[in-house]
Parts: sequence; structure tokens; C-alpha cells
Amino acid sequence: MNAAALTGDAVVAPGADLPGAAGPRPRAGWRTTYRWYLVKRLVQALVVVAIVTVIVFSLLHLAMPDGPGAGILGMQANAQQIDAFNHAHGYDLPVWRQYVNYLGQIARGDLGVSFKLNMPVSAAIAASLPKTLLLAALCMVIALVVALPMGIFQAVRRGRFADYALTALNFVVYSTPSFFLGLIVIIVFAQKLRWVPAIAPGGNVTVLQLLSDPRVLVLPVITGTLGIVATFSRYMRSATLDNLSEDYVRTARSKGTSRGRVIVRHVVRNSLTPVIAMLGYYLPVMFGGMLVVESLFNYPGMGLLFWRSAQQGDYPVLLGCILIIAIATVVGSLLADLLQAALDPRTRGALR
Amino acid sequence: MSATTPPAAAEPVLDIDGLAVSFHSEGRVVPAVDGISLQVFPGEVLALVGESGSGKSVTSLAVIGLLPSTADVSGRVTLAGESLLDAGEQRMNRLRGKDVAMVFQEPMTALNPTMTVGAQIAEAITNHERCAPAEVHRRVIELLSRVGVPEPEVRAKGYPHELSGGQRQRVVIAIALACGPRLIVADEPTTALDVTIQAEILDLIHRLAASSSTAFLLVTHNMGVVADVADRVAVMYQGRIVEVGAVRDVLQHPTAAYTRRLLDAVPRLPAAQWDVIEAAPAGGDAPAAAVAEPDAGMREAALSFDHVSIDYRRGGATFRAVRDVSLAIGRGEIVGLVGESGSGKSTLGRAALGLLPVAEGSVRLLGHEVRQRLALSRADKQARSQVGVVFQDPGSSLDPRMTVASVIAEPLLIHRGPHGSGRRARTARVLELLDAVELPRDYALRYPHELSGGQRQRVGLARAIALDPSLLIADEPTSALDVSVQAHVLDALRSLQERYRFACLFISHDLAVVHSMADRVAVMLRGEIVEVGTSQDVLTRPRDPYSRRLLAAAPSPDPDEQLRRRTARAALTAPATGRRPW
Amino acid sequence: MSAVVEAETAPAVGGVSPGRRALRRYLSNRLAIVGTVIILALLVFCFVGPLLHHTNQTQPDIYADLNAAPGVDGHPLGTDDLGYDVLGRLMVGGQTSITIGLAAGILATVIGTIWGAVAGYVGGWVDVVMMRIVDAGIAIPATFLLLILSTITRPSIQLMILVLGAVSWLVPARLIRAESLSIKTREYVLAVRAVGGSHARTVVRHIVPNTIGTMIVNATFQVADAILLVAYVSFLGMGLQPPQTDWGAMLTRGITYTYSGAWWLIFPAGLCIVLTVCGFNFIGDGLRNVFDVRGRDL
Repeated sequence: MNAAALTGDAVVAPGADLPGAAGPRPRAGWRTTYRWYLVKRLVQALVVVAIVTVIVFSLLHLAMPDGPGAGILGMQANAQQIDAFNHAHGYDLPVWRQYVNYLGQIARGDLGVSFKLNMPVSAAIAASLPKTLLLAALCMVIALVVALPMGIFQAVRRGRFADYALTALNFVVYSTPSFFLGLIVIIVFAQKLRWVPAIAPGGNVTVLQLLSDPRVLVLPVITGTLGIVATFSRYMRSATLDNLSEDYVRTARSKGTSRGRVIVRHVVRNSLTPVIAMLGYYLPVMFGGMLVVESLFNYPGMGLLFWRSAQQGDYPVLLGCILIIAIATVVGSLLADLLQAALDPRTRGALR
Repeated sequence: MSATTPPAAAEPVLDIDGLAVSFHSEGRVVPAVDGISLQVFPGEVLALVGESGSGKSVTSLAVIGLLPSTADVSGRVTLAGESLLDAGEQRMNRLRGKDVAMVFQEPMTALNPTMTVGAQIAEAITNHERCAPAEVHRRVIELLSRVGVPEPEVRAKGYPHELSGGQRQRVVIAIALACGPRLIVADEPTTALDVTIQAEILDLIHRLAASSSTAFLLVTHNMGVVADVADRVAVMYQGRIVEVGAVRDVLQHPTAAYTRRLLDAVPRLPAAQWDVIEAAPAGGDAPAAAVAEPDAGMREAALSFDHVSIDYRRGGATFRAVRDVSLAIGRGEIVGLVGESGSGKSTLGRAALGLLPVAEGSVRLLGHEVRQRLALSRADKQARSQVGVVFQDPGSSLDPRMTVASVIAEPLLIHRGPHGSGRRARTARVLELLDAVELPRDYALRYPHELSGGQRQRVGLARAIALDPSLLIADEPTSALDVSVQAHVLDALRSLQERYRFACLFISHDLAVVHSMADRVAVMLRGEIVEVGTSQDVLTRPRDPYSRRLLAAAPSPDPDEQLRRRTARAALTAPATGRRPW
Repeated sequence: MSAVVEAETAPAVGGVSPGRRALRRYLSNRLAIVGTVIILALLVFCFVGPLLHHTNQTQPDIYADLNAAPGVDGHPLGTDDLGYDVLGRLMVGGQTSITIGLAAGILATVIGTIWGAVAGYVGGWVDVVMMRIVDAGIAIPATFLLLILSTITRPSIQLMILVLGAVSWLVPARLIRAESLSIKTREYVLAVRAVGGSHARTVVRHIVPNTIGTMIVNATFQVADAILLVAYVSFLGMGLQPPQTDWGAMLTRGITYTYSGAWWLIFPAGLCIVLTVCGFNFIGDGLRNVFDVRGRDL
């Protein structure tokens, strides 16, 4: 479950960083406007999503070269029935044809129909996605509230015992498969202490019902949060360390700003920027984590939906889920970039 | 060594007595400052001058108490009677910014990029005084105008990245001045700035020192800066002070041997004919193309630029870095190319090496057109074997993973042949080259990190002449080196040129260095050549207004000459000719 | 116009080779030493252990009790639900887990390095396209992708290595591309190009060797991540079938017995995974200090 590395094309470097006089300003044309940047990003995002669909489509086709007919209809079906099924759903067309059809479908907002669940894919996802989002949001928020101060604390106490201890702890948590963590959490809280029930109610529970009895959320949230804390406290630590060695910290100290004040007023804001950048890229990891957690706790979110569909070979659902995640990731990273720009006047300026 | 008679009244603002600083790292103890004593009096500018490793920066950090935790400090440092070294952290925080302030070297990174300029200056005030916000704002604006930042109201609301290097340094100075400190410690405040900007900042410091009783401790390696603004100077060498005295005395009649050596190593421009310059009409036509061609009688030029324009892309926008430049370098001739940042001089050099595409015009190397190509044709490769290049940064000019021998031998591998192929021939050539640049033969097996900056530049030189080129392009080859080291490397380059007679395009921002090397000089400003001529002409009787300003801004270690330049500068910039280079 | 560099006297070399210095720096990192010890101990346990503790790992002992508690009948850690000796299983599983992890991690780093170096060096639209592909790959969570692959086939060890490598090369690609971009503009590269050196020479002799630090550090982290992924793969039902096994499979099988209190089916395997991954992470962190690179943004 490796988090994405910091992107190669990092935050736009400040424009004129030549020593001495600012270099000649580039002719401000339409190409440097914010709008053009947005357009460029959107196009790139679309390309990424398109590539995702190509990858997944080809994989699924690899899985079922003759169409999902055999899997859906079961062992009893004979060749004729399978062929009829495949033909009816267009699975005997050449692959690229199927892909184009699929693209057309998506453009119309139709994600297809699930074979096993007998409902449109979009309905199935719409029923389960909010619960995953609830879980993910809770995990993320709690994790950040814990991880960010922890990272700053570690950076300030670098090299001392607290730093080593927390680093070791972070590594241990990071190195534990989340289902193992979940297991330990279940054993400790559900079995031994009997504070909360171990398994979440599966099936068609709505978000509101979940919220009304939050005890079922406790274990999944704890399990999901631990991994995120381990990752983000390290990010915050290294971002803070980087900033602590910057020149502007020295200038601030020379003004008479105390060490604590420097951290709070200067360093934290600047350290947040790269960490926020990571949030956008962390989304796929989040979803991946949710898959495991939901499976372990039988939590009725999109991850569980995906798992069940994979076991049953329910083609359209699998495609639909991945598409949603890819879109979410791309939108998420775009939002993260925009948030960064909002925080960092340099990116704002370079885009003006 | 005791100070000579101080300029004014008795009590020193800063009194350093027997200060010693050493660092412990990785189990070793490294001494940096070895017991120095120094005094700075109110209203005076004391320059602390030395090369790298002299301990001058460490001293400045010790005064303001910002040394890293790996430092061991002993001795006494008193500020207006109060001992700084035993003051606790809290007391030091109260003193910093209020009684003693600091200006650092790198203006581009000295300010917090996400905080407005005004807020950062305001912080200096609110750290120490309780003040109504309106009052703080008023003071911020007033400080910004005092340091010469135009449109202070607008700038205060803006961010650091909107300002140029010179302007940022002014802001840093404003921060230092905020509470009217008794002492301002400035550590190489102008080193990272262009020469003309440097001159302006030094003017500012000069004015501030003259108009208040604030004392300045100015740390620098540049003798010209010392001659320009300092009243007294202390020379440091290897952690000790070797000489102290009034600027005139020390710079014109040095007593210590090291001072003498240091002053000898500084390249000097010949005295310019300021009366001629000032008498000539301001903004007179600079016949830019006057001596773009080498003397008649020279045959094919080693390197020629023919109406060359080069575009530069940045973030989707293109702008012209070099604009219609024509210049020719004859065989065996050294031509200097001077300019400040953004002038396009380095860009031109890179185009000559085929590293950048040329938008218009052509660059010819020994008659062969140079183009940036994906794959080099045979003729291209042949032409390239005739060029050598030396770059500026000794830290990145050599591949850290290769031995000196491999670095020097690489051109020989790329172009097999001219000096015999085969290992033995190459090794022989490498040793021969090491001798030529005066490096011991056993350095062949060393790695770059085991060499000093000057030695690395020599290795770069050896690599450049490995194929016996007809042309050498030197892009700021000594700008990152200490003055004494620079002198040696330049000597080496000069003797190599005399021996091998290659043509040379010598790119630099330092007029004095260019004068010591080049036969002809071209001055560039914002992508264009504004003046071309013999070294003597351009550097003593420049005609173009920018060249004149450049010359007037070039620091000279002779206080009298420097004074003349200062007045010339004032005269040249007063009638608002040409742009303020902001 | 940058800060003046060292004085003419060469820095004290003192005859310490760069290798020796690197070793010293590595050893000064306590966590790194702990990690190294852990990994060495586990390697001995997994590969030398079976020579000392003979058990039959291809055919279960039909006379043994199933899920027997530890200490019975020469089974120090009990038996599992098929009758295999757990301790022996642990060793064999370890061999599999570590082998797959190492191979997949190294494969991922090699692929990623080539991809990233080319993208970074060539630049332009080639770079854009290559990196969009990487972005697309990252946008799909690894677990989702593995699950889809599980619908295709049940993997063998070799296939698992390939699959894990294919899923993990994206991160090193990003990192090496960034390095490549930065090295491309260094003066020693420019000098080679200026004198007529070919692109091939530049990449092979200058860019790649200077990214070795990042490569090695990242490879270590990749191995750690791959071992974790192996565990996830089993959890998702894509694991190896008996008699083959790995720690993840052991852990997954054991989870079904959580409520029966058969801790020996769960914790030894889980602990081994944690120790190994942790160990590699510590080593990676130590190496990162030595080479002074990022290697990963953790």
C-alpha cells in the first residue's frame, strides 16, 4: 500500500529567481492565464481517466475473453445459451468496438447494468459509495488531527528519544497489514473489552442509520485511521524539517521571534502545502485501504461491493467502481492543486 | 591586535574580546574562530573581510547568537555593555531585532514566501513593542520608503516573490532597521546581487550609516565593497584577525603579509577616464556594431554569431533572451562578454555549444554551423571536438562518480583518434593535461569531492583542452571561487592560452576579471550587445550609458578610485537616463 | 555570484574511502542497525531453519491433530487446519514471502527506473504521455487491481512476482524522473553534450549512475511494500494454494479461527510480516540518510 511519491512536476517554481534584477518578464499572453492552466489540467485529467478505462477494460477482457456469459449463467448453461447471452449484450464484438460502445455509454451517464444484482451499476454504486465516503472522511479527518501535530512535534524534537520512539511506532503501524491491525483491534475492543460489536451490519443500511448507531463505525474507523496517521505524520515531519532549515526561519529568528512562535507563525503554514498536495494523490490509497477494511468488517460500502462483484465476475460493476475511483482521484488531485495555489502565493502569482 | 583610534566618542557599541568558536561534528572538533578581539563604534561601518574558512561568517552568527547547537563558544561579546554570550535565550530574543539586527546574504530565500512583505516587517516591530495596528502600518510604510522601495503601500500588501533580488534585500534591511537597533550585522549582503544593484544597496547602507548612529558590522570577501562603504576594516585569516585599521591605511598601505597577498590577488581595472566620460554627451550613440568583427587580416573566425536571436520558453510563454546579436571571435583571440543576470550572455554561450536552439540567425564554429540537434552528424561531431567548455560551479561541473582521470579522458573517448587511441595513449594524455594545469599527477585517481573548488576548476580546464580545441568557452569560470584562488586559476588559463593559442569566449559579470583576460570586450544588456570594443576602450572610456553605469558600479579596492566611481555613479544615475534596473 | 567556495587547501581527505564513510554513517543510525539485525535473523530462520527443524511441508501428517495447540507432539507452534506443523510452515512461508518480495521489489525498481529516466531525459510530449500513463496507474488502487487480476487466474509464484512488479513500478518511475530532470541540467552533463557526447552516453554513464542512491533506497522500500502486498493478495483470495504457502496465506487462513482462540494460527505469521516489513523500512531509512536522498516521501 505505497503512497504515491511526490509528483515529479512539483509546485511551479517562482518566476524570477535569477540573482539580482528580475529577468525580463515573459510576454503575458493567453497561454499564461489561469484559465489556460485549468484547461490544460482538465484535458490531462481526461486523458488519465481514459487511460484508466483502457487498462481496466483490457484487463477484464483478458479475464473473460469470451465474455462473461459463462460465468454469469453458471455451469448448467450450454454453449448456445452462453452465445446468446454474449450476443445480446454485445460481448462478441471486437474488443475495440466494445470499448467505443462503452465510452459512448459513459458519456451518456450510463454505467451499465449489474448482472448479479439486477440493478443499474450507478444505482449500486450510489447506494454504497456514500458509506465508503463517510468512513473515509471520518478516518481522514481524525487521522490528520492526530498526525499533523505529531509530525510537527517529531520535527521539533528531532534526534531525541521522542522522535525515535514515534518514528519506530509509525514504522511498526505502517508495516502491519491493515487486516491484521483490524484483527487486533477486533480482539482488543470487541472480544476482550466488549465495548463495541465486531461486525457491522451488512446489506442495505443507509448512512443515516449508520450514524444513528455509531458504535459499529468505531472499529473500522480506528483501523483505517491508524495507517493514515503513520503515513501523514511522516510527511508532516519531513516537510517541517525541510522548512526549519530554510533561510526565512533564520531571518525570523534574527528579528527576535522565539522558536515556538517561528514554528506556529511561519513553518506550519509552509509545511502544510506539500502535505496537502499529497492528499490528492493519496485518494487511491484511501480507497484501496477501504476495500480491505470493509471486507474485514463486512461494512456495506463500495469496497465490499467491489469484492463481491469480483468474486462473482460481475464485469460492469467492477468497471464502474474503478471509473468512479479514477475520476475521484483526478478530481481530488486537481482540488489539492487548487488548494495549494490558494495557500501559496507563488503558484497564484505564476498563474496570473 | 588593537584597533587604531576610533572615529568618534569613546564607548564601543560592540566589544568582542577573545571570541573562540569551534564545531564538533562526526566526532571531530573543527575550530572556526581562534580568539579574536574587535570593537565597533556608534555610527561607523566596520568591515570584516576574509576568504572562505576565515571565520568571518561564524563571527557574525556568534554576535547575534544564531550558531547551530554543534558550536562551542567562548570569550566575551558585549553589546552596549551587556554580555551576549551568557544572556539566556529569552533575553537574546528580546535583543535580536531590537538592539542588534542582521542582514543575510541570500535575499531570494530570506523572506517567508507565504507572508506579505508588510506583515514580515511588522513582525519585527510587534515582537518588541506594543503598538496600535495603524501605527505599525505607518511605520512599515515609512521604513519601506526609507530603504528606497518604490510604491511602498502596494509592496507592503504584496508577497516576496513579486520583488526582485535587490528589492528583497531592501526589505530585509527594512526589517533590520525596524526598531532602530544600535548594531546591524550584515553578512555578505550584496554578494548574491548584480553589480549595479550591489552598488545601490551599498549606497543605501552608506546613507543609513551616515544619517544615524547605527553601527554596521559588514562581513564581506570583496575588497571593493570595503573600499566603498567601510570606515575601518579588520582582515581575518584562518580564524584570526591579522590586521585592523582605517580603510585608507589598510587598503593602500597594508602591513600584514596576508593582506598584501589578498590585495595583490584582486584584479583591478585601470583607472577610468571619468572626466572624459562625464564630458561626453549622455545617451550618445553607442556604435554597437563598431568593432564586432575582429581586426582585419584575420581569416575565418573561430566563432561567429550572425544576427542571432534566441528564444526562451518558460511555462508556456516565450521571450527573447538574445536579440539580434552579431559578434565574431578570431582565432587565438580572447573576447570578453560582460553583463548582469538576464543579459543573455550565458544563453549566447550555450547556443555556441549547441545546447540551445537558435530562433534566428546562425552561429558558426570554424565556419561550420552549430545547431541543436537530436543526433549529431559527423561534421557536427567533428566541429564539436574543436570546442572546450569550462563552467561556473565547481560543485556540479564534474561528475561526482568519476575519477579525475575519467573526467578528463571522456572527451578523448568521445572522439577517438587525435591523440592516439588505446588506453595507454589516453592515460599519457591525461597526465600531460594534469601537468599543463599544474595539478599533481596522483590527483588522477581522486574523486571530485576530494578536491577544493579551485582544483576542480583546473580539472574542468584540463577536460576542456583535452582535444586541443580551437575555441574555449568559459562561462563565469571563477565566479564561485575565492579571490586568491581565482587569481591562480586565471593565471593557469592565461598561460594555457598563450601556449595553445586557442580562441576564447570569456563570459563574466566581473569587469576587472574580464579586463585581465580579454583583448576585446562586448557588453550585453537584456539580450543585446550595447557596446563592443577593445578592452582598453570599453573599460576605461565606455560610450554607452549602460556600460558607463556598469563601470561606475564595479567596486575597486582602491578607496580613491572607488570614491571617484561613487561620484560618477551619482552623476550618471541622477538625470534618470535609462531604466532603473528593477 | 554565488557564495565563495572552499579555500585553496584541499579538504582533509584522511584516506577514508567513500565506502567506509557510508558504512559509518549507516551504522550510526540505530534504527537501521535494528532493521539489519531483524532481517538477517529472519533470513537465517527461514532458510536455515528447515535444516534444523525437519517437517514435511508437502504432505500433512495424517496422524496429527488439526489445529493442535503448541507444545504437543514435537510441534512447538502447533499445527494448522490441514495438519501441517506451524513452525515449519512459518519457515517455508517465509521463504516464499521474502523471495517474492525481493524479486517483485527489484523488478518494480528496475522497470520504474528505466521508465522514469527515459521520460525525464527526453522530456517534451514523450515525458507528458509517459507520466500520464503513470498517473493513470496510480489512480487505480493496487488492491482493486489485484482483485481484478484474481478473477483471471490463480497465480503461481512467478506470476505473483510479475503482477506485483507491474503494480509497483509507478512510484520509482516518478522519483527517478524527477532525479533525471534535475541531473539533466547539471554542468557535467552539459559538458559532455557540448563536446559531442551522444544521448546514450549521457544517460548510461552519467544520469543512471547518479540516480543509484535513489534507486537503492527506493528498492528497499519497494521490497517492504511488496511483502505487504503479498499478504494483501492472500487476504483478497488470490493467494497461493497449499502445499505452497506464504505468511499472508497463513494469516488469512488463520483469521477464520479468530474466535476459537487458536492464536498460533494468526500471530506468528502476522508478527513475521510486521517484523520483516519493518526491518526493510528501517534499513531503507538508514540508507536514505547515507545517500542523502528522498527515495520515498515518507
